[in-house]
Formats: sequence, C-alpha cells, structure tokens
Amino acid sequence: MTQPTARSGDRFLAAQPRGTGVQSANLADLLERVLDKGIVIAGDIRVNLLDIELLTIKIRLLIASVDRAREMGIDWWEHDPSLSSGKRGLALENRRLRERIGELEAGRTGRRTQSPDADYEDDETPPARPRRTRSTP
Amino acid sequence: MTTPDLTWLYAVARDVEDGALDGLTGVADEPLRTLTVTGLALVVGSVPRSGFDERALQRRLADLQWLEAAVRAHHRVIAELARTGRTLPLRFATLYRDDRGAAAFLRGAGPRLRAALERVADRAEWGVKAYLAGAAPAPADIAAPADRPGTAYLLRRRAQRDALAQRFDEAMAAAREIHAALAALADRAAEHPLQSAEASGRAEPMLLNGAYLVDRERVADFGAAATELGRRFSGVRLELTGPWPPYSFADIGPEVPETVDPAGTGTAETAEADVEADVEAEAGFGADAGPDAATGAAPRIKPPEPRSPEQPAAAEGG
Repeated sequence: MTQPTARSGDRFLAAQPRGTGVQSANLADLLERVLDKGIVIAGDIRVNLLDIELLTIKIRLLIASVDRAREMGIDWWEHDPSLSSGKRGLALENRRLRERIGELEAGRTGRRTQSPDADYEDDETPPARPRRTRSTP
Repeated sequence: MTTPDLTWLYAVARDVEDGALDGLTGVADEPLRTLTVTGLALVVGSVPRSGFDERALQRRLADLQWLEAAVRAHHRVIAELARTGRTLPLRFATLYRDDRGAAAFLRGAGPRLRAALERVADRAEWGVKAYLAGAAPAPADIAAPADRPGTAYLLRRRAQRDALAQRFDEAMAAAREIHAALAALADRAAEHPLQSAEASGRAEPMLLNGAYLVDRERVADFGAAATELGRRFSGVRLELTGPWPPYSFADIGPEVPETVDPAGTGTAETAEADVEADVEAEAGFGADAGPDAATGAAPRIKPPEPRSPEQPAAAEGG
C-alpha cells in the first residue's frame, strides 16, 4: 500500500528543473492549479465551476476504470498505490469515493443526496455522464 | 476579422519563440495563436461558440470526461510555454467573445502583467506535500495488573490513543516547520487546501500542501533542504511535484490599475491605445494577498481514530 522507503528528497533531486512536464503530478494537484489558480479575470463568458475537491473525486471515480484510462493514455493510477493494488482495491476505492461524493454533495446542496447506484460496482465502464454534477454555488 | 468563434486564453508570455506552438492544440483541439500587444504575447485559441458559450460550457463542465481532457489540454499548452520562457497561466475557462476583448485585457493589465512576469522569471513552482508517516509506536509498557485484563485493555487503549494524538501533533508541528524552512528558500510560498484522502488517493492524512516559487539557481538548495527535512522529521513523508508553471503565483492584483491616467484622457479598455508608455510599475507584492493566503492556516483534519488490535472487526463496521 505505502512506500515506506520513498524519501521525497531523492525523488526531488532526481527531478529536473526544466522538464517536459510534471511526472509525479496527480489529478488533484493538476485540478487545484488549473481550475483555481493562474490569472483570474472575468472574461466575457461566466461559468460556475464545481467544488474542486468534488470534481477531483468524481473524475478519479470516472477514470478508475483501468481499461478506459488506458484507452485515454492516462496512467497516473499506475503510480497510485491505492489504485494499483488490483481489482478488489478498485472496487473498495470506488465505494469510498462514491460515499465521499454523496457527503460533499449533501454538504453543498444542503440536502442529502442519494448515493449513486451501486449497480456498476463491477462494471468495466462507469456511466459516461454522472447524473448530479450541476451545482449552484 | 470576425468569426463566430470565441477566444480561449491560455497564457501570457514575454515572448513566444518561433515554433513553440507548433503541433500543440488546445481545449477544442484547435491550433494556437499569439496576440501581441505592447511587447506582451497572449496565447489563445479559437473555440466554437456553439460549444463554449455560457450555456454550452456550463453543460460541458459537468461532463467529467470532457473536463478532464480539457484541463489536461489547457495545462499542456501552458507547460510547454513555461518550459521555454517566462509564462503566466490563465485560469481554465477564461474566454472573450473575440480577439479584441482579449487584446483589451492585455493592454489594460499590461503593467501588472509585466511586473508579474518579472516575478516569475527564471523561476518555477514546486509543490511539496507532507503526509503523516512512520510506524505507530509500540504500545508502551503499561503497568497493569495481570489479573485484571479489562483494566489492562483500557489502559493500553488509552495509551495507544494518546500516542497517536501526540504523533499527529508532532507531525503537524513538523509540517509547519518544513513549510517555513522551504518558504525561506523560495521567492514566494503559498498553501493550497489540504486534500482529503479521497482526492489525494493516499490513505495517510495530508499535513501540508505547499507551493513554492523557486529560482532556477536555487533548485538544488531547495532539493537538498527538502531531503534534509525529510530525514530530520521521521513522522512525516514528503512528496515533491514539479516543476510546475507558476500557477500559484500568477496573481496580478486588482483589476483597477494602480496607475490611473491623471488626465483622464482614456481608459485602458478603449481599443486605440496602441502607443502605451512602458510603465514598469513596481507593484508591491511582498505580502501574499492572493487567494492562497487564507487557505493554509487552519488544518481541517483530525487524527485518525486508533484501532485496537483486539477489535479489528469492530472498527470496520461503519
């Protein structure tokens, strides 16, 4: 599960100051920067973004399907100990994530949302469009 | 040239090298263009109005497959630009109706953009996260009467809980010290909200989610310091990400420019300001007044409940 011997500094020094990208970046790191940081100006088109933690968890759930992730060329989960421990770990992870989504959505909307259907627990392909993603901040 | 497209903004750069954008495409798979106004380059793409007006975009943001791919596309453009020169990322989903609006932004914010570009020159953002780590301490030797197993159990359990709470407090204090030490080596530092285990994908509680703007010359020192800190504090595990484009340090201050035209002859928004004095406003940026400043202070996690080895099943009940 964990990487007890991994010392940050070793990996740190191995990283190049000018690389082609961020190898060790996980989805949460990426979303919290791209969706929330950078120069913030109004522009002409106003949209509301979901809570970033909620988005992160939902996307993690979405691409927790190994096949689909491979198809898209995404491999961050291969370095993610909690997801790479096999199919069983994935199912557990999925359940935990869905519970967390339910909690977050309940917190945001002030009402208890139903936990998403349990019927794709063993499906290879989660639904393409999650049902409850709109929010009114 | 007017097209029915909207203009999606990616980044502001000092200048964009020839060919730097070749082969890159944006969030709508569109080729990228550069708008240049008074020596600043704005990298943009034309995206179809049908998919990116307010209604359509709001709907698409709920499509996680689209969103994830678009976030990566937005980041890819910015990362590529940051690799070759000083770059300020724009937040995802910054759109103007046309290039004129985008160019007006560039003109209006010119001095602030220049100052911000100066601040990130030859620097990159590095992320350092700290997680609770280390094996739980062995249950202390409790002087409990062997003939009273119930009392002994309760004493052991309390000692275990106290030890865990203490370990967490120590790790939290270590994380504060680590952040201070790294911030001292950085030009600027910021803290992102701590990620939950569900978002980070790690079971251990996160104690620090720091971002540091580090001069290229000091990256080695920064790395050595992180290594040293990781060794010194065995109760935390450090994780580094980077180099990032300076997402967390791209704030350009308030929209109203500090330097108001005293004569009031024209606002920054008018389209004719082609000749603009090269005002290098030394905007003050000592204090981290950005949105980060408020987020880091209060850790919002609690130490996990200890699980008694005697009762492993009960803890999983939920």
